[in-house]
Amino acid sequence: MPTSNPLTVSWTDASGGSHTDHLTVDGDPTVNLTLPLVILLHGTAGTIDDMSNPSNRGFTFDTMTPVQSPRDRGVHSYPNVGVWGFALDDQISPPPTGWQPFLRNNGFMTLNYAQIENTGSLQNTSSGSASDPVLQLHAIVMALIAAYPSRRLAFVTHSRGGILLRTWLVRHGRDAAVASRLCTAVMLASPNAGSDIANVAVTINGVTHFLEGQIGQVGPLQWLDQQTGSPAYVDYQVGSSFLASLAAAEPVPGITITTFGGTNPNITRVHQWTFTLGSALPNFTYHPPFDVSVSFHWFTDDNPVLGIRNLAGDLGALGPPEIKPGSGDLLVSDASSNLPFAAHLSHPANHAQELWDPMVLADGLAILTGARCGSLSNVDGVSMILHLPPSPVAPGAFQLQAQLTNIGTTTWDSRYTITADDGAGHAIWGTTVATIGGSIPPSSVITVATTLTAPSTAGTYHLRVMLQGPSGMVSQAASATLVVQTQASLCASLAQQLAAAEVALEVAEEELGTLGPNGKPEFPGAAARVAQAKAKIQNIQQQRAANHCP
Amino acid sequence: MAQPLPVDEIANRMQGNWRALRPLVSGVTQHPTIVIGKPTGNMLAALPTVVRQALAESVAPGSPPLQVVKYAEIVDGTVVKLIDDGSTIDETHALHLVVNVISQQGRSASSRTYQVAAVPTAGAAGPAAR
Repeated sequence: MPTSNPLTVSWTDASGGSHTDHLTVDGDPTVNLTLPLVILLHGTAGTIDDMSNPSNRGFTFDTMTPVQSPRDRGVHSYPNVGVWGFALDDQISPPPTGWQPFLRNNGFMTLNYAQIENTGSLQNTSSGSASDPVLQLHAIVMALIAAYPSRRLAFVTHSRGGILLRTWLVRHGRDAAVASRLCTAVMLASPNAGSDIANVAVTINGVTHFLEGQIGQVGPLQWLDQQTGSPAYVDYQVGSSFLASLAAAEPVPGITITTFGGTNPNITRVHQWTFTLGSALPNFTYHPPFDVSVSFHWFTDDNPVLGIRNLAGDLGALGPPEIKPGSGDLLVSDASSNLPFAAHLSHPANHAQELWDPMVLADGLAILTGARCGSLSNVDGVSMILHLPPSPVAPGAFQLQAQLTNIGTTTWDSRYTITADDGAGHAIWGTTVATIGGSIPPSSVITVATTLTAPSTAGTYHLRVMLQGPSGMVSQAASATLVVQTQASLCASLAQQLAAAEVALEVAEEELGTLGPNGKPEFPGAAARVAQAKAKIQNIQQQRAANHCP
Repeated sequence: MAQPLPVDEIANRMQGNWRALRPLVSGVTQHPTIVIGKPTGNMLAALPTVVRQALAESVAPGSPPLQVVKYAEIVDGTVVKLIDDGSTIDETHALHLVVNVISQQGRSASSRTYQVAAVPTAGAAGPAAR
């Protein structure tokens, strides 16, 4: 079956201008129907290469392999001394696999969206201008919904792509046609709570511009310049009103978000290759009967530039958390990539590495696969989203919410019920049956709450939720896997999480009250981290209450 | 900083170079292009200025003057001049010296390399190989 599927997207801007885009959906639409179609959103100044062939961008530096020094520069007829040249790390070889081919290899369909105005501010796009990536993204999503009626939608976003997704979700995520199709998002290194990019730029620009003076404009340094000089960064300043307006409208129900943050600011090492003393020593070779040749074997040693080995990391101890080893990825701090309502994973990756690092990809795959988005069935005429309690759950009663959209042609009434089993007809979740109240015509959405009972034995169980109608019609529109943990062990785990969150709050509050020598806050973003820690504590306490933890 | 070549390796390279030149020296007059000769009394004064300066800087004040025993001049990778007294160098007190002059004019570059072996005048202790 085709792995390259054309998608025509038409949209109209606020001025009445018509636009038609011809895009491509990657993957086989006839298989793996339970996997969501993944929309890939790149970052500031990005291209589709970010998600498909990151090595084409030139920032796939091999920062880990020890550098061979001295390095053989060949045999020459003349000596050499001093500096051979400046260089960054070699590119990873063979080129690493990006998100799109990685997901393709794992059976996913993807759409790699090349954003218009990829460095522009997103907060000024609400006018619906011709260069509005939010408007264009919405048109793409609607085209996908129409073209792939069996697929749920997921997202993998990088940096600004995450802010674009959040902006679009706030504007359109609650629309019935959209809400019924959303599933999950993996948000890589997005400045969700802002980025202290001004300070980052001051700290690293001196180094990058010095290097550019030595080795000329090279891709990765241009990329950094674009990141730190982009107009879009007015959106991402710590304390930005734009981010605050997004946060006030979140979370958008129906989509689970997992944020990834990086803790390694070293995007590349810098090298000043200097000739060894031996490069200036002649080697005489006698050639009988009476001739002699002279050669000079050049070798160069690897030295730091002005004492700087890592582009940002060596300066990080003095700089903002974005470039502090262990707390930032060069452009975004790990803490500010978090969202209070999202799960969060940290990786020892730099900002660009989130696009190809095997560990990041593996964790993303686990989330996209584990989200159990499920397929949709037009025949059944229902699309269902389950709002499950955080897994694991304790044995006994728990609340399940199912959001159902009537995508068929028949009106639902009280003859329609919701039932649950283990996928094989066993009523392991209790016998409670919820009834659809009232009349639900086509295109309407209803949320049904019901109480299920988790098995008393710890383990991993399959949950299938079905809509059952008259005449024996049964849909099986949603399924999930739930881990059941004994109450004691679940409560112990939550207690541990609570303690960690309380420590994080204490640290953030201390940072919040610390002023630097210039009288300004020493730790930008501390207020956001305090808010996040408080939200996390509240979330854990709610889980503890729901599970009757002492 | 660049890692310095170990002293022994520098000495081996210099000594090896003179050994490589020995057959050439013994062939003397047959060589079509290389000027080959024996050291003379005023040879030190006849050396290029950069070499004389380098030799002078290599000797501590008050030390006895050096006697050049071997001299090779290489222009753009080709030996053009060779002066050798045919002796085996007393490595205990020998000074080995390499001076490179790299020049650039427009887009063309050229190099001159001078390798010198010298020993203190008879009876005096001089610098070790460097």
